[in-house]
Amino acid sequence: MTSFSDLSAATDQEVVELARKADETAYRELLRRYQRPVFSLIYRMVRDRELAEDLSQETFVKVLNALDRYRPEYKFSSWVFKIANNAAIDHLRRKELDTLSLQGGPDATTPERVEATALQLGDHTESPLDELEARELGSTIERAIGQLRPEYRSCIILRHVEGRPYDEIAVILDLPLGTVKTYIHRARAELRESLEGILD
Amino acid sequence: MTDNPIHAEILDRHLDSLPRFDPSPGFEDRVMTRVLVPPPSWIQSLQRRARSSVESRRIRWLAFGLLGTSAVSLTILSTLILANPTPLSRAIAWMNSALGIPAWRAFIGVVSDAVRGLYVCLSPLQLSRTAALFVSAVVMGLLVIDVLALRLAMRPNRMAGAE
Repeated sequence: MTSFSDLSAATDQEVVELARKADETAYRELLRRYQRPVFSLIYRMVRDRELAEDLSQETFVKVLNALDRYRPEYKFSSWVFKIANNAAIDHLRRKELDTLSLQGGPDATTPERVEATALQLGDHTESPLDELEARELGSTIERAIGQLRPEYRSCIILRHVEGRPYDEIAVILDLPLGTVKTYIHRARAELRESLEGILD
Repeated sequence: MTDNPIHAEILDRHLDSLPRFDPSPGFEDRVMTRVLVPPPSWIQSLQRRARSSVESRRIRWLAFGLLGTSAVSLTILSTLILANPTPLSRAIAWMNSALGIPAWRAFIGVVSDAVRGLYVCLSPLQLSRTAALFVSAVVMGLLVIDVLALRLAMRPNRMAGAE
């Protein structure tokens, strides 16, 4: 049996198994593993930090309260990302937010709101100049991703930020493998077009 | 432009280096307050056993039997009491004098002995008002430190999350 001390080395399936045996530390371990990837995915989808936190919270509450319904033949990460992506897509559909604001979130109507909802980039740089450059470049790329259709955006984020293989993306998004490949191909083409200036 | 392999490579590099974002501090605890962690497995098995026992016919008959016997006994006892009030009040008075009063006296004796002992121990201590205040402050400070230490000790162990 997996013990508390080696939880960080345990596989997702083992941690889920422990959580099903009512081990609270296993619940927290799953949260620790997935809070950044899930929050990043949702934040990039909805481009509003507060909203992304709420949707991420809903995602985890749903996931952790339904652990007994999780089927171990699927990857745990696929299950979590599927619920997170559905939460984001549902929200975008509800609010008809297919086209997003360039500077801030879609709900940003005042300068303060724009500032609050703009994606916070350039946290990992070394000098102020690097930071400025990275911030500008990062903002441009984030802006270009924000302009993609939500399905393309999910595909690109899952593929490039989360490093998920094509077949897992197909499971997460409930799409045929061929469609996923097409979406990623088209999304890249659109990004190359939007980023023409900076790729030269 | 869109078919340029160098551009595709540069784009891929940029996309792969996009950072992840952290939710605000306390996110984990906020989620955990809304998660229902099931009780430990031994409690679950006890609950299952209790549920199946209640559902089984034998246990139901036993419970009904016990309830019936208790009801009949209580009725007989009440009837006897109501029919014979004088012997009963005598019996209560005897129990009070033979057991109740000595027990109460013994309890009072023990309490007053303890208080007296404490007073005897503390009476040689002569503290000025400032010293007494200082001692109180130190004791309160220790109490606060204890509470903080307990809180720290009970905080769940933070482990590096696998990504």
